[in-house]
Amino acid sequence: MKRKRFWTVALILAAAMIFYACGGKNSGDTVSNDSGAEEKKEKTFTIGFSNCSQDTPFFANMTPIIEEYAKGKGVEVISLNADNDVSKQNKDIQDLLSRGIDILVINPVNEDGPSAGIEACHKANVPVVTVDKNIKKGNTAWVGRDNKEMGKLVGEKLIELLGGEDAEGVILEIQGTAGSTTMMDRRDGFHEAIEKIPGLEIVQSSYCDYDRSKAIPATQDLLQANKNVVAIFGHNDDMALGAAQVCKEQNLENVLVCGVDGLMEAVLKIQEGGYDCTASNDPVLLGHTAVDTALEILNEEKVEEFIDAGTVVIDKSNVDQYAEPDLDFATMVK
Amino acid sequence: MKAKMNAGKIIKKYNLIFMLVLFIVISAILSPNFLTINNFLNLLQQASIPGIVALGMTLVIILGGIDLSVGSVLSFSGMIASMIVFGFQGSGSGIIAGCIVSLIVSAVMGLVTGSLISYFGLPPFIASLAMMEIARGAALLTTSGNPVFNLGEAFHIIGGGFIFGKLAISAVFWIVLTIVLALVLKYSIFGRTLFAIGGNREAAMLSGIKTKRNYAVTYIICALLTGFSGILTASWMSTGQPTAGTGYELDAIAAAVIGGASLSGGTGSVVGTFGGVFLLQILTNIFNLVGLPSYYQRIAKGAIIILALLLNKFVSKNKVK
Amino acid sequence: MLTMYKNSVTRCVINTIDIIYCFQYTCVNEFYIMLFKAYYKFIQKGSMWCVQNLNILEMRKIDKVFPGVKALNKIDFSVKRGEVHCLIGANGAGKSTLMKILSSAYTEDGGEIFFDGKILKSHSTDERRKDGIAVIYQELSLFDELTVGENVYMNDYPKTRFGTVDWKKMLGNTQKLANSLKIKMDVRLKVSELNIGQRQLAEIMKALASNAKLIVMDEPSSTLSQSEFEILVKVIKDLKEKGITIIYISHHLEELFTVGDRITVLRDGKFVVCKDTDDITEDQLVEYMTGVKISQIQKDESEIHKVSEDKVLELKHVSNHKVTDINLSLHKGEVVGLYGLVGSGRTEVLESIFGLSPVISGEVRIHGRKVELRSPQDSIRYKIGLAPENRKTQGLVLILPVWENMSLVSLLKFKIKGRINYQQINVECNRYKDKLKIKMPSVNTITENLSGGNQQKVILSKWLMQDCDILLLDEPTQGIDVVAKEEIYRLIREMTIMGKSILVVSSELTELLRICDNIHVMYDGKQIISSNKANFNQEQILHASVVGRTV
Repeated sequence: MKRKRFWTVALILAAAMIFYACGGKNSGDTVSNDSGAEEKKEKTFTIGFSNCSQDTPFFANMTPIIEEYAKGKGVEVISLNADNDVSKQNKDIQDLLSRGIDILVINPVNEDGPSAGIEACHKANVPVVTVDKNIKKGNTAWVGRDNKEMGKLVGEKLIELLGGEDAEGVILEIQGTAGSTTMMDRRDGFHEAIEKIPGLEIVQSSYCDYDRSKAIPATQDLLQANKNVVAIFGHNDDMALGAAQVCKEQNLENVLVCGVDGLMEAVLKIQEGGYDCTASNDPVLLGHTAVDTALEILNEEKVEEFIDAGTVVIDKSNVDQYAEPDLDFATMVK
Repeated sequence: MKAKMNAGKIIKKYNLIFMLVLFIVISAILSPNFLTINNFLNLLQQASIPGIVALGMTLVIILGGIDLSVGSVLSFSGMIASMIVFGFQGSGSGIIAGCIVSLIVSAVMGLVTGSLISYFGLPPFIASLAMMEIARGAALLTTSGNPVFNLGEAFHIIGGGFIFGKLAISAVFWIVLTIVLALVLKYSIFGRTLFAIGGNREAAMLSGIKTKRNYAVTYIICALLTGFSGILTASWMSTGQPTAGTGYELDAIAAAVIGGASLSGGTGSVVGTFGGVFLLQILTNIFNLVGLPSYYQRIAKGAIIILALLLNKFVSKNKVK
Repeated sequence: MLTMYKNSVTRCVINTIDIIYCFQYTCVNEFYIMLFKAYYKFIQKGSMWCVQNLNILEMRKIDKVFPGVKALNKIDFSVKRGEVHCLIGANGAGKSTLMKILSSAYTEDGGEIFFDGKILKSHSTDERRKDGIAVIYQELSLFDELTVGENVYMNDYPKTRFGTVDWKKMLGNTQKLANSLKIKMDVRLKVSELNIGQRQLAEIMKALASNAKLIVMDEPSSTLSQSEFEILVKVIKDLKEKGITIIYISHHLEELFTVGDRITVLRDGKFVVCKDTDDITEDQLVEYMTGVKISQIQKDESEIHKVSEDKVLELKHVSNHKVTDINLSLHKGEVVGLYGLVGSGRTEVLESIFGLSPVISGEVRIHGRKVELRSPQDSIRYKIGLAPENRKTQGLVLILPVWENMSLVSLLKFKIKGRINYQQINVECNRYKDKLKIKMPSVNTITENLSGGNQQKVILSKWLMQDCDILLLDEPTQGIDVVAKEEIYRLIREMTIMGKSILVVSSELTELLRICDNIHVMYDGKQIISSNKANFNQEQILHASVVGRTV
């Protein structure tokens, strides 16, 4: 028995030392060092980036994009990831504050969410910039995209591809995560466009959480339940690609498939055929704009409340400009 | 006389068939699109991957244990297979290498979980919960959370291909594995020892059964089945997704219990689990066909699982007493 | 009988009324009718009152059917007010079933129960308790983590006028109860802190607290020491003086003569006989219970069998974590017994032989060859089998059917062409069912449903099926009724005739004296004395087991 105790204590001590040495590194947590810090020792800014999750390519890409761009500008970034958990995000913000950030860039889990963290930022006089999704109040600026606009643009392009005003038929809408403002905006924008055409009817799927493995069965079932489907719109490319796969398996070549995000896999598919259009949601441009905005605030320049990072509809006509297999997303940054 | 299970278990089995028939009839009434060959084939394909996972879970439950890590192991093995296939640009050798490596990795994880429980005496719930976290983290770590796509047509066939035009290959795998495992459970000594160990571990040990070894082996088998499901998932989606398989463990447990397994061990049937998985898939399917909003789907699914289990209990209690 | 009486009287009355009615209908006739009816009712009530005042309990023509078996067959059982009535019978004879019907845990399929003057109509255990019937089961129904007081007043906490529990009153009442039974107990202690004898008494107090008029005690003494049993006897006497009736169920026949006034014997679900304890002997009781004459049993046992010279098992200076320097040898066809108090290390000796407890020093030899037994599989390979102390938790997988338990060790035997042959298993298991006379509907019965004795036979079949030569039996007849015990002894004898060798651990010296060729006495991990059948000395053995050395 005594031996067991000794080894337990020894192991705990060893583990503690290892943790201390590694500085508590985990997959979502990185510290990027500033190479130019030695030169300008007086004011190296530190940006704290609280990301909402890593579980879709879009979110997962944001972190390295922001870190690299900031590094290029001579700014330190500490990033954390909240795993879609609001309370974790609050804790993340507290952690960032205690590590002495100058400004918080945050992609909130939801728009009400991290109010405690935002409060803490105000108390510490740390400005807040939201990126991609917005919070209700408390931020100096929001760098995002007009998801409604994106939905609308895709809808309009789809109408064009379906034959304009006389278009007829059923459009399946594969929905994202319930309660997400992004999802609701895209849906509303899309509906706004489609409603103009009397012959087109939208059938919505259950919430597929932006997950391809849920979108595929949902598409299969909806195709079973609805005849005369002429197009499928997915709230993001990942899901829409799943729908496209189902169409291919069921030999429904005439069904148009479109989504949002400008995911490279989708862009490449527009090139080869089987996918029809998407609206770019370029995380690169978004990330860069966010960092730029943050720096402007830190340098005490005036910024707009909402900064639109912009979007572009990609379809067969312009796909060649955007197809780049090395990237994850179609980018507007050249 | 075939020395089959006693009356109570047979009735439970027929009870499951009765429930399936009931579900099919109700679904057919609710939606005209339900009772079509196309839909049925879709169902088979959709149920096949959770179905294979549930097979492994059934073995573990019969043993008196539980494995909460299946969802995470599924995604981790899928990621490994995807990365290797992608690395070999979707070629045949890449596919073979990817499958072998990911199966080996899954087996190792199963060995670890099983050993922690049988040789080190950790409670199955905690040990597999811990493995669940480890595997999920590992899966996210492989590509920093990014999915891996462009896996090539050849790889896609394993999980997404069809034979005879419309029958999904993954469904064939599911059916074949169910039959194989049912035979193992019934006609092999290893299979029979699982029931004994699950029913009373000490008595099994005192009867000369190598309980610790069999325990670890069963967990390895479960992990292999899960790893295989991971490969099938990545293949079907044509992407390796680090978030795949979330929640599969609970569905697998529900299916196994509906199929007659008891969480205290010693009872269970893979054919029953097959029915249970099918039942659960019918639920999701009919909800989609009818257009039931997402949140109602979850509430309804949970309620129906409870009803199915109550029905099981009620029937067996009445008939056998 | 009463029903017949009822019927004939009714018939007479009705005929008479008919005749009178046929004549002219007058007020006088009506008056006569009323008179007849009143008279009839009076006779009925009167006779019932007479009988029932004498008997506090009358169970008439009770039937109970379980799937496939008729557990009780028109049982008549009556208990006089204020007596101690003993109920005995083999396991499966129906005693527990009958008592469960009394307490309403089961519902009877036929017959009726009269208690304290009225028919018991409701079938809720709560109602029966309120009527005054209390049952103390063998397993006891106390909650370990609650105090004595809380357990005693579990069903009816005394309340303050606010509705909360009146703890002071509860403690006070409980103490009063304990005092009235002249028991020394601190009622504030948790039940887990009491010893088994005190727990027994706490159960009795619980029965008294609910104002029981009839207390059923199911095997109360099976876990008591001699001194605790004496306290129980005193308490029963006190209860009797208070006018409380007791039904006493036990396998220990001597006890029945100590405490009982009358004895009822059940066999195979039927009533056999009810006699005063003064009018019957122990041997006669066994005869009634088994249906077999004692003289036959004695004749069988007097057949001498020869023990061979062949040493199948030998322990030389064996020590493990609990025992030291054990030396014994087991010859072919021999029965060797290990006797000692609980904790003397007998089970640990068996553990070392079965590969469960590593041998620290000394050696174990099988057929003269030294062996290392590191796991049960090793021992099984050397044809050793173990029937563990706790049948239910160590010896059997209760939720599996009997055939599966029987074939658990020898599954390899039944494999042909790579798969298990169920037909062969079925045939083999049925063979053992017949050979060992195991009472059960079929080999597919779930093992849990068998009685203790039959479960033990399943365990023995398991090892016989594996062709074991050496059998280690740890308390083989614990908790088994008289009839099944005899059958097990017979089995042991038969096995030795077949050439098997048996090592038995038991706490019942009489049992060992009867079946063993050699007995070793153990105390605190050490071997004290050994004696041969030719010169068994009971006092010497007892002394050695308790004191730890020879005289």
